[in-house]
Amino acid sequence: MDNPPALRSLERIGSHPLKELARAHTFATTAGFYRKMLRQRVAADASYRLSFFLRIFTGSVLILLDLAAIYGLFTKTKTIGGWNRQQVLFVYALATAGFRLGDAFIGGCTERIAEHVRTGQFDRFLTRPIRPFVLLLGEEFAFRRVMQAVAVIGVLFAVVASGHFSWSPIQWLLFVGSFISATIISASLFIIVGSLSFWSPDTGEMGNSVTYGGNFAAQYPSHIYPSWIKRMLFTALPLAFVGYVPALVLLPGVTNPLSIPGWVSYCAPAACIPVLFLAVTCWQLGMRAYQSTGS
Amino acid sequence: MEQLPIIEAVGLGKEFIIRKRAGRIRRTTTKVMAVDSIDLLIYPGESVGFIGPNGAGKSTTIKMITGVLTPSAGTIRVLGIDPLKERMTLTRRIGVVFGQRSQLWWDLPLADSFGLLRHLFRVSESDHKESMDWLIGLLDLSTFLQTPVRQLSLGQRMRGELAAALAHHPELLILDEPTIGLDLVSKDAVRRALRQLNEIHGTTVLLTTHDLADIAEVCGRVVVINHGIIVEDGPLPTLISRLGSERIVMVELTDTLDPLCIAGTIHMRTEGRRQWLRINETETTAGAVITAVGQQSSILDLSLSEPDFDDVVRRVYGATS
Repeated sequence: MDNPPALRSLERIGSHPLKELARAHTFATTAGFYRKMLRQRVAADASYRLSFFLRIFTGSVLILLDLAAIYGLFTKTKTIGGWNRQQVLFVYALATAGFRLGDAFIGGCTERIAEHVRTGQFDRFLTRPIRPFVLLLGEEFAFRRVMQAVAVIGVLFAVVASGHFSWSPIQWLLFVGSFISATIISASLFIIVGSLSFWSPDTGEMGNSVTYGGNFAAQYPSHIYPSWIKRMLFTALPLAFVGYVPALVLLPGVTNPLSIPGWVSYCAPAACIPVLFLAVTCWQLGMRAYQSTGS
Repeated sequence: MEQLPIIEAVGLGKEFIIRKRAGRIRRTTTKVMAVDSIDLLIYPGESVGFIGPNGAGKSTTIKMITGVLTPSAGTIRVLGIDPLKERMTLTRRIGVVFGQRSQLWWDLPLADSFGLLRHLFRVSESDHKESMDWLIGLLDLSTFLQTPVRQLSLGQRMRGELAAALAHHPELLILDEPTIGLDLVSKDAVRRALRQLNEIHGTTVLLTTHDLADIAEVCGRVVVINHGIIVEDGPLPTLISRLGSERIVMVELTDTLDPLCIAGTIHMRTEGRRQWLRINETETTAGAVITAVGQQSSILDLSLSEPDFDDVVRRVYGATS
């Protein structure tokens, strides 16, 4: 059924600057709404006061356990794959800070998709004048997860500060780029895993092993692993590129048994681009699947 | 000029594919026709009730109208818009209430939920205040505006849901089972609000229900869906007289008489001076029957039983299944 001519001519204004303005306005509203949602979520979380503090506490304890594991290992050995404690801590912190940040703002929300699909609550996300993804991120935001991210970012700062690196501006750029790339890859993996719930709500456990397991593997120099894990960390789950690979040129004097060329290290942050692309595709396909099958 | 329909569905259909495990890996797929082929025109200002047994296709139809589900056949336009392609544009112009699923934020007081919705729908502060005042009056929300939604009673929550769906002044309000589980007082509040909305503000209302009283009080038109097709479409009284339980008149006469034979009635039973007659309302009216009885004997007492809604629903579902 075609629109009447008057409407059709309206549609033709499509690329008009006014429409661009409207799009910018929409973006501002979306961002404003997201901010407002976050504030409300924090307030709502804080209304259960005891559990709020308990959760912040347990969140930080998780990170302390990570650190204890690394320190524990290094009481038995001086180096792992030729890397010392300080160097492993750097890889851990660089790979995990971004991962936890993605987990805090995206992962904690996308893991709830399964339940929304199972109960049919996801319909609600489709009856609001905002992208369902943004609404999901706003509604399911959990402050306690941010504390974990803050804790790891703190570790990263401490490691960098105590390392006394004399980085060039390019190296600093790589450092920041790696952190951003780690955040994007982590967010993307969570989106991919969450999107699978649109087809089957029981993919959660499998998803956790991919995301959290992947991060765990990325916390240590990749060359210590058997070849199948190595292959995975450089391809399907490209988490080597957010910690290990940049660390090769950021840490002075580390061994490089895999002989990764320097230019690869400097391009490492680009690894997030295909993953992000895949995530966007998965989300869109997932939404389409939901809209054709319902709950 | 002829008015454009607010909802225009032509041959609308939805087929689900259900996968079942058959053996370890093998799966069998069965196609289920949730909605077969629905043609429906709803005009601005109408108030339409969807009824039909569970699984008849009501909710699926509602979901296709709101753009939540992709139709597998036919076309649907709502307010002249394709709900699927321009879902977000449409959400600004319609209000949606799912009775069994809360649209509100569980942890937030109602007032805060409305504040968030104002941002979402980009309603100006002054417009928002005005519509809030109106809704607080319409739905009597003032006593529980500051209570977190999780602590509200079902009736209070449903009034909150209605207010949330109406705060951006939608042209069309769609409600899926808005009175389910409510007590009589709450049902009444919801119905009164919907009627006012439709009559005074001219908002088009489309609701699904299992309670014919919702339709009797709110909807000028009833659409019966079963097995994914529309089986009845018209005003409620017409439906009742076509399918509904007939009214029964009991007359107490001055004498014991042989069973009365009145045109358009069926004699049911006699108990002394009392006789029961079933009225076929397509042929006659209660008044005519009583006049006719009065001509044969004088009447001491009489009572007229009203059609029982539940019985009507049972008949509607029974007659079409």
